Amino acid sequence: MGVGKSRKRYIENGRTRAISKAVGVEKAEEEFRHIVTDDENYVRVEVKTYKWSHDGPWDEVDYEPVFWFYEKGSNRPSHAISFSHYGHVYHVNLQSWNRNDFSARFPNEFHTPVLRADRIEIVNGALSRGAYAYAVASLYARQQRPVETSQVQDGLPPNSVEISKEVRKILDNWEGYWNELQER
Amino acid sequence: MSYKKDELLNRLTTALEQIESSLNRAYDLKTETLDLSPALANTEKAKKVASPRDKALVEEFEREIKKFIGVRMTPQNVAKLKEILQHFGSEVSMAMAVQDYSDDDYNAFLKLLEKPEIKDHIINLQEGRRKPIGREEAEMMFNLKIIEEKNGKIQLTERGKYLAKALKPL
Repeated sequence: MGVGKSRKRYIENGRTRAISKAVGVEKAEEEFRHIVTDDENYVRVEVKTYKWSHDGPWDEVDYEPVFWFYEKGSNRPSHAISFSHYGHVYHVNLQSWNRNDFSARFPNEFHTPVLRADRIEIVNGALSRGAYAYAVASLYARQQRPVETSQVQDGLPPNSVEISKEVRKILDNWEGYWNELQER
Repeated sequence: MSYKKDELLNRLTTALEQIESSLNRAYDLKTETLDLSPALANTEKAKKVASPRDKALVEEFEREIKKFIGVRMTPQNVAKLKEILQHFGSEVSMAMAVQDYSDDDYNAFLKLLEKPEIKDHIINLQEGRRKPIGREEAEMMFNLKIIEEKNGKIQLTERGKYLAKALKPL
């Protein structure tokens, strides 16, 4: 990827103002769509935030952003990075991206996206790894299906300072993450 | 802060046992409130050796548990607390099962969990029932050190026992 050119176009076309405005605030106003173009590559990074109303013991509304990475000429994302209770999860080579594969962390609760991918990596956490595996087990053991009432919201409204920081970090370094994801 | 996953998971296991025991004691003695301070002391120590993401999970659990401090333990509250313990306990058990897996093994393990019959196989073995199992699944479970052969018998490893504990309530 022509990093210099991409960066240039990104700065020219990207919504940098919106990013700084939304990260760390209660609710974002718009979706972020980073379109990077150069002569050789076309990568789109799209951030969508999923808002979940829990009906399990953790009785709170939660916001969880997902970064979708689209390869050149494709209208379906190949990789994703999600944020959740499990932390910062890489989904490499998504197998099904449009089926709302949301798994339950708790019974009857559709919560964190568990995107079907060839490979998953949970960054930084033994407990997080366990929690994620439990969610996967729960999904398959109960043969759960997503509920239609879950709201999908565009934008970046993380209600957690920690997630805000992580999102911000990825936004600032998204090209590095993209290259890293492709190498996995 | 240093990240020590063994200590983290052991502290959390102890905290869960302490809450369970406080719940049982309250039931036996017909007291109305719980003593959660020993468990919270352990979660506090757990946070000190946790990674940032794991710390966030522990804090979330603490927030929920603290709602029961000084609260009358009605049957409804007991049920609510038990549900929280069961979910968090399953996550901790699962973490015990996967903590030393390489990334490759962890991914293979996630694929294994997708097989609908796995839960029954594990629970059957835990309860001493030996039922036929597909060759592929059996191989995966051997490779992932969930089951082992001992004295000519197939049984769960320590890892398999943690897994059984996590899967049983599902």
